[in-house]
Amino acid sequence: MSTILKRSVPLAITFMTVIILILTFFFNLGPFGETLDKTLIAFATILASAALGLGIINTTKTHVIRIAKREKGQWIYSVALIAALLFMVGVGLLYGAASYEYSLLFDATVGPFKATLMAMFIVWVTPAFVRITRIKNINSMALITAMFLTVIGQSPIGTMFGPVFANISGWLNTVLNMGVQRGFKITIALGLIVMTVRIILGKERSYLRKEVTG
Amino acid sequence: MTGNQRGIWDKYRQYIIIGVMYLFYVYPIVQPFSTGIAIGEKAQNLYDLVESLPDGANILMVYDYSAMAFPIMQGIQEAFLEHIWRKDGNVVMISFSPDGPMMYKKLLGTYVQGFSKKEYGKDWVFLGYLPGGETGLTSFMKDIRGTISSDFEGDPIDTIPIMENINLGTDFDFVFDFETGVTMADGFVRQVASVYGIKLAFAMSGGQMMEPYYPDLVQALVYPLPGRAAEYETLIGVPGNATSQLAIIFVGNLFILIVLLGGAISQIYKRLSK
Repeated sequence: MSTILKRSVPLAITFMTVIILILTFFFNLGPFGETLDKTLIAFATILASAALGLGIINTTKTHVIRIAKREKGQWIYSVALIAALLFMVGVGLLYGAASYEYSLLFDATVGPFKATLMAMFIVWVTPAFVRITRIKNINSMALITAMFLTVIGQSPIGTMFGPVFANISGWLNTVLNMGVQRGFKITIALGLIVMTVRIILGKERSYLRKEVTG
Repeated sequence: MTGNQRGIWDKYRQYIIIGVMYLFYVYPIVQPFSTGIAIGEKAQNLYDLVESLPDGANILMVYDYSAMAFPIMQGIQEAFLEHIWRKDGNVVMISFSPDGPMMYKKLLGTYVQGFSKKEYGKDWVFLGYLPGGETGLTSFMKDIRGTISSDFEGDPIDTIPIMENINLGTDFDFVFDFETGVTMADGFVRQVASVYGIKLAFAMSGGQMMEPYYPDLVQALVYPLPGRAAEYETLIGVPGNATSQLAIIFVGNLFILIVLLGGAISQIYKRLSK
């Protein structure tokens, strides 16, 4: 298959899919349009499921290679990862994801591990937080003042002083923070629109292989 | 000061800070105390929103958080289920996060007093994990049966009584998403609130980023961690898990405030002494 065909067919599929989804969103194209819309979206959901499987395959491949090469200091952890992965998949397939056995394994391993990670993160971050909360200039003073007022206003401590700090914190949140967040969201939305137009026009081809992008 | 003459603070700063932090967090466990609860606007909004729903309303409850956030979410979820089941709400649960089904199972195990009074299939159902993020949500809202054919236990949806009159997203009266960060939050605003006009609420730790949508597209926005969950528990009259965490939140915030003040005072002192 020539390079032009390898490039044109995916671009054409992308163009048609995006145009159909946009048209069906804004216009009533009858039962056919509705069916097409639902089908395309269902395809995307199916692809997302397949992507999960692809992720597992990719992870397994990476770590099997590491084990085969006996990478110093790494391969033993890869053995542990592959063993845990196969064990959990095996239990899930044998007993089902809704089973007591699967839940027990998850609650005994993943839950405590993730909670431990979170706790460790706090322990590492706290000294760094202490280091950065130093007033060096007017900007850092404004930041620390805002942090102080927000924490005291949002926390049970602030209630000891009446509604003052809650009102100040609320103002910081609903006026200053909201203004900034609105700016972010509008900017991101504009960026997404530009990216979509580029995808429709075929200018954005990062999803194609390098040798066919031209 | 040379390296050999560094003081105790400079040498052992990290350990001193972590040690003091541990002392702060251990204190309320060793010596529990209660703090006052002042009801804030956001918790009141959520309470009023749920109260405004008709009896027997169809609710979509979404588990979008990972295992590490369960302690944060447990209180607000239990309080919400307690509240909505007082109004005989029909709760359809789903997850767009891979950890969601396990979080559902965990809540099933911790909120026994609530789930035991209700019947699976009639008062609640869990449809499992739906991949695809916002696309999965879009597909689900457009056509539930076309997207999901069975619940988490494998029973066909058509055999579940609660799903009898729920076919499309518009059949839901209220959507409540529990998540950490903002992974799906914008997606819910785009695909649920703005397209279908369904009442939408979030309980999320990164909620500040959703403030622009509040209160028009997002009618209730609760940050569980600083105590909003405890306020909601107080409003429904059932102090629970979140209220019991208030003391720890209190000392945690106190520690942060002391660090902020301490840093500021030390810098001012250094500048004045130069």
